[in-house]
Amino acid sequence: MNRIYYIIKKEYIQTFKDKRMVMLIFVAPIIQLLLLGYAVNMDIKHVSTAVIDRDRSFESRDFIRDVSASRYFDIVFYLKENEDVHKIFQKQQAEMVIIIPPDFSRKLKRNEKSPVQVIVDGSDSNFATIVVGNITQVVRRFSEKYSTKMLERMKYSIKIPRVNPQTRIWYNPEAKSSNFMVPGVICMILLVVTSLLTAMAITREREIGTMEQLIVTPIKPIELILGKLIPFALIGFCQVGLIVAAAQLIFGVPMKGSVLLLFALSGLALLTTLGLGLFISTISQTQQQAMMSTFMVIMPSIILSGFFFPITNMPAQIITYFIPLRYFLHIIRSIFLKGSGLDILWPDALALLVFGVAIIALSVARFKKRPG
Amino acid sequence: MTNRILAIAKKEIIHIRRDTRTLMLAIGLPVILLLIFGYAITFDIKHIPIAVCDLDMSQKSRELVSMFAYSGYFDVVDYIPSVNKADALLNSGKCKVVLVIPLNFSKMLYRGEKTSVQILIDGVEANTTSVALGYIQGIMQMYSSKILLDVLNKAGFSNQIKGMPPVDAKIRVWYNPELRSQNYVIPGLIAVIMMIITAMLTSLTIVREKERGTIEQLIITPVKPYEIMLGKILPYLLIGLFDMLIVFIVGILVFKVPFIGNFIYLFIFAVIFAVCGLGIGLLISTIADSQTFAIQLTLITSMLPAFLLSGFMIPIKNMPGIIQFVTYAIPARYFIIVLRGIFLKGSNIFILWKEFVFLSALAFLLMAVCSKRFKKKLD
Repeated sequence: MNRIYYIIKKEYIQTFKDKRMVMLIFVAPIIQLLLLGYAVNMDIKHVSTAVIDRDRSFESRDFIRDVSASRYFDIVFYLKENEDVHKIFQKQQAEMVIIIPPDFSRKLKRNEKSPVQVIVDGSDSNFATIVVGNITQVVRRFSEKYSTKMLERMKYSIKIPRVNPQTRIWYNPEAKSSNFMVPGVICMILLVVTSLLTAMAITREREIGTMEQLIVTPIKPIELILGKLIPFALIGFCQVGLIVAAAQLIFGVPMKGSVLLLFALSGLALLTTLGLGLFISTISQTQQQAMMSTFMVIMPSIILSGFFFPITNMPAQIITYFIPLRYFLHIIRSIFLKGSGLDILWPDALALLVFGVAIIALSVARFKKRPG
Repeated sequence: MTNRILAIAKKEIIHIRRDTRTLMLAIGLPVILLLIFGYAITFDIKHIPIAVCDLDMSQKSRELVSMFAYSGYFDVVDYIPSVNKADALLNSGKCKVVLVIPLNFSKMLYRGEKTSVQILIDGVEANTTSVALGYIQGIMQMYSSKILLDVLNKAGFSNQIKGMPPVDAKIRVWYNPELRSQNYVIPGLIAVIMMIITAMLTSLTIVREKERGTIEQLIITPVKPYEIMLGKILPYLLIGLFDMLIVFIVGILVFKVPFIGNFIYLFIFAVIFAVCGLGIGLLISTIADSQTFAIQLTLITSMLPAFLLSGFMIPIKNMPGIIQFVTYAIPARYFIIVLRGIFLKGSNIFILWKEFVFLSALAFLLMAVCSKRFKKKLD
């Protein structure tokens, strides 16, 4: 036990010898938190729109007014007849162009279908899909306005049936993206920092050649491993605490569930991340190798975990089941926003436990065989 | 001079070659990211699981449900007999939306009264939620106007309503008419990958010598500091450009991303961008005393911004002013505009001159700071 303590102490001295390192370990999560909390906003509003109005009538102006009143679109300028739309898009001066044909108002008055041309810059597919949906809505609403007018002209009085959706958003009523992103940062930080630190710390001894010195001491491999992992586990817990506090204080993310449960399950997640670091250290000779190998695992993990991209949208969801981060992310978000308890989260907790124990067992076995 | 630079480059290449795994990983990472972004990720939001609680059970209510089902945006995964079940369903994540059609829905509709349906949405995934809300609005609008036409038809106005809806939007999407997200993501991926590889690998080169104690040996040789610098980054410049080629070729051949621009322009920009990435890495290497520190610093100064502040996934326009301001210092921001412009819109250097100026300025600035710090450190 004493021997483990000494290893821990040594590791602490080594990690925190560089005061800047301490800063970095605790400043990095805050920076990521601020970026992900404030910068991630996928709302698509204020699309820059250019207009070519070939009709110049009361109706065409009314239409343009409706488009800009929708808040989805900002009319940035009117185009001249012969201006090149390609140039406008290439220079990113506008993302959408509306062309109103010369007979727009005449057809409207005659009760004929009157087409409006819309060109959308589709290079961002997600953006364009939503823009197409929004402009369709605006056009439909405008249409409705004119059909109602027409019906009134016909002196036809009927109550127009109408269905309006009453929407309630649960768990995150304002659909604030920070409520979604900030809890997720816990998972990302824990994975990136603890696995990378562990992998590099152990490989470092091998690279510099101090591993032999450690091996010839009476310290058993398992003690060495524990002594190496415990400091990083503690760092991990501190970071979780830091982010939980910042989530509430800075971003006002609601914490509906139990903080205790969150910490307990973070412990399970740490098993998987520390285990990953340990495993990588057993297959790496230099810190550069360790770093690259860790990235090879954590980048796909983050992308496929549902951190940014909802898993329900993924074509091949099966792979995500092999990513421990997925379960941890579900746990964290559910505890924060839904107040879920272990009765709902136990399958995720179990999955984390299985992954954690498996990778730790595997790497301990490898480490024992070939510590140096 | 050139000889000494080449000698240092050769030494670095030997280091890299000896460590074949790092080299493999430097090539493997782009491939893995390509596969993930090409096959496993779509930005499109479709097939949102929805549960229906139809208390009306009429023809009209079923029509509404089928409009949801056939929209392509929603998959009806469950029918529930009462609203009470909604809570458990949403909490378990089996569905993201519950549509509740009230009793008397069709009766009210026939009487021409306003009716409402209730929609419960799981708001955890904020972005999906807002997009789903838009879809729902659209579907309800379509449904409403269909009912209106029905009513008018029945009232004998079929002649007058021929022109309905009066305005018809003819929408065309340029540059990416099928709205494939790969066309958008893969060009951007070039910037992300190049930034990761160049900054990560160079950030370790000099610290490694410091950590192992070989830096002193380098200093006492007649090699000048800037020669060490250039020699150190040359091999990584090649790796970075090689990674660009991989993504470029695989993107076009496998993922069928259109490329209508000029490759020469792309290449020039890629070199300038790589110099930025190498400059950041080198700068970190001169600051850091251990490889662990260097990596952590690289993570937050180059990799995270390349993903988050570059416009790769998150539109810069929506960011708060102060963060938007920060993005001007992120090289990837300019390169991503360039990549998408050249790939999809065929933009040329005259259209991208602003990006060219900013990117070159950043590259120059980074290199200048590096060589200044480098001298101080070594003297």
